[in-house]
Amino acid sequence: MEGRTQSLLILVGVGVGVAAMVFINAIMAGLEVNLLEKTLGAQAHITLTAERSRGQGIFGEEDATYARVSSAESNRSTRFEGWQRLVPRFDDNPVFTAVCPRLVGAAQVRRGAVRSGAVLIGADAHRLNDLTRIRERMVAGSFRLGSGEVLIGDSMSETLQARVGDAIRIGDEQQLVRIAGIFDFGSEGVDGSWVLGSLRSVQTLLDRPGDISEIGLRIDEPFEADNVAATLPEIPQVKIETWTERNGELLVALSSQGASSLMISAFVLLAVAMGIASVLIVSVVQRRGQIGILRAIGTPQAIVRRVFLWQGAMLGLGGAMLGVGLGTLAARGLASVALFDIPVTPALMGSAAGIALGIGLVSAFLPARQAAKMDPARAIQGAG
Amino acid sequence: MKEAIVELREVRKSFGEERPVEILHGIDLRIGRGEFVALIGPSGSGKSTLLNQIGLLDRPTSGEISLEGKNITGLDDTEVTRLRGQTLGFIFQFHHLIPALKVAENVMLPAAVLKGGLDAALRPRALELLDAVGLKDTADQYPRELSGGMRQRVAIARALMNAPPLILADEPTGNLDTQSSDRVFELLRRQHTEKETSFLIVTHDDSLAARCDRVIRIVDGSIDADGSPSEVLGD
Ligand SMILES: Nc1ncnc2c1ncn2[C@@H]1O[C@H](COP(=O)(O)OP(=O)(O)OP(=O)(O)O)[C@@H](O)[C@H]1O
Ligand SMILES: [Mg+2]
Repeated sequence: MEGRTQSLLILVGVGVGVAAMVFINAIMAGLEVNLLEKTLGAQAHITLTAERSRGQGIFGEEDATYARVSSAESNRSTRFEGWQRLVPRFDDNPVFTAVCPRLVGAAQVRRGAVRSGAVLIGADAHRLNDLTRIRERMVAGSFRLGSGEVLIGDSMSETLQARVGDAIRIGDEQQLVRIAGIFDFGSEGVDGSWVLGSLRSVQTLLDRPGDISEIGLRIDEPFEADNVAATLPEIPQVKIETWTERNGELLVALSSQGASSLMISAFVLLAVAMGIASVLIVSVVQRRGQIGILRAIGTPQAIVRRVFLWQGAMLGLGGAMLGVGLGTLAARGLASVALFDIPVTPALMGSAAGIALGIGLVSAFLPARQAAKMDPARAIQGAG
Repeated sequence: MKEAIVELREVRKSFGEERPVEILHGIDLRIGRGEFVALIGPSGSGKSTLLNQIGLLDRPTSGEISLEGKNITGLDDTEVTRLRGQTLGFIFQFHHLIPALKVAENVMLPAAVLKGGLDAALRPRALELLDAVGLKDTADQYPRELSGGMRQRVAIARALMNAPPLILADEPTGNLDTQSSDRVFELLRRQHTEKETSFLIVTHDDSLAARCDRVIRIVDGSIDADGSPSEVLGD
């Protein structure tokens, strides 16, 4: 009777432990997806940038990187030679799910007395949408890159106090353009600085007719970016860069997040293991007499050992089922109020159950051994 | 003289690693097939220790033990375990029935262990034995539903399951009232007359010992007297 209460308690204990594990890992997975989406949503996985050859320009060895694009000099940086021939080659390669040649440059935007620095990006609307899924990010107006039209982020629209249909001025020439729509990528860097226009109009605005500054590529599996980039042939005066190189901090954050969830899971599992082991040890002691009798009537040690291993495995498995259920419920509950999805995948359920079963067996190992090695004479006399 | 069921030569047993204390001092003993023997002696004299050596539940420090003519010295644990299951029946002061198993299943256990599973074919024999101890109706109950005396009778049925040639009983009536105690003793006696099973019964109760065929008294780990009840116990 007491044995049953104990088993029930530990079953709940294992269940809560497994639930915590499932829950934490689901949250971490959800957070990771969410962070990646936020960061990568508007970014290319692989970017090819025109680079001035060493010692060529008066600007020395400075790279025309994305981050430094705001420096005025880069607007007059090297031409991306032969990009028209390069694009169809990427188009033909099924590895790339989006190929978007873009002209990127820094500019001032102004509405009335309010000024703001901006990153001006010109691209084909279709290709830009393939790369950034921007159509889904529109919060006002429509996704259109007609001549004399631009799209801006919601932060910039607040800064400029400009709405759809309003006109703003861009660049040194103070050219007038109209806001066709407002997007929200959920990333301040993008929403506060990007001004999107058609390739042709941006070429005009930046005075770089027929030129682009980079080609953005997207692939199916973002984490394969480095591998895919490594397979690209070298192109003279073109720098190939992946999102992982540009987002070192995010990756460090993700991996430390992963490490901490692993750590939490490990401690939870340790507690679960000790719980199971202690219940079994108590059970072995309580059942000394029975074990002794079983041995006396000829039960081999191996069978006694198996009985306790089995018990451990059942506690682990039962707890796992309970835990996966609880964990899934908790994750669903949180997902309904959180701003992102918390996925409890079959793989997560399966590995949680598998791990719990394994933990059950491992933690039963010592008690089972103790039971099997028990001296039957003392076991029988010592127990009442 | 009858063929020996168990024979001990110079059996000594010490306990303790660092400073071993000898509990049995060179026991020589022979029990013939079909004997009904009581083992008596003061508390702490080594009765249980001796019974455990004979029952292969423990190993002597030195000396030899033969069971049905077979010297068990040098057998490994697996062989000893098997021999124990086949040759010996045990009844202890505490019944140690398995609470999760029904009464009949508890009785079947020794045969199930030998056969490797609780086979339905074992049930008729278990019912027969339960009938013999007067508990046929409890077959499908759980041990906790039975009184102390009834449980002890179940333990006896269990000891008889494999029809072992030798049954070792350590104070089988120690926990029972006089009436239950008498009943249990009668059961053992009947098994002896009907099946010629040998018995070695440890008891504190002289009146019970007096109803056995032979009485061995052990004092301080040595055999002090061995003979008929009247010789050992006086009249
Ligand atoms: N496993 C053991 N380790 C150490 N000492 C033991 C062990 N088993 C028995 N002894 C000691 O051996 C002596 C004899 O014990 P045993 O149990 O054989 O006596 P007994 O005659 O059966 O006594 P009782 O009538 O009280 O049951 C006692 O002093 C006991 O403390
Ligand atoms: Mg004793």
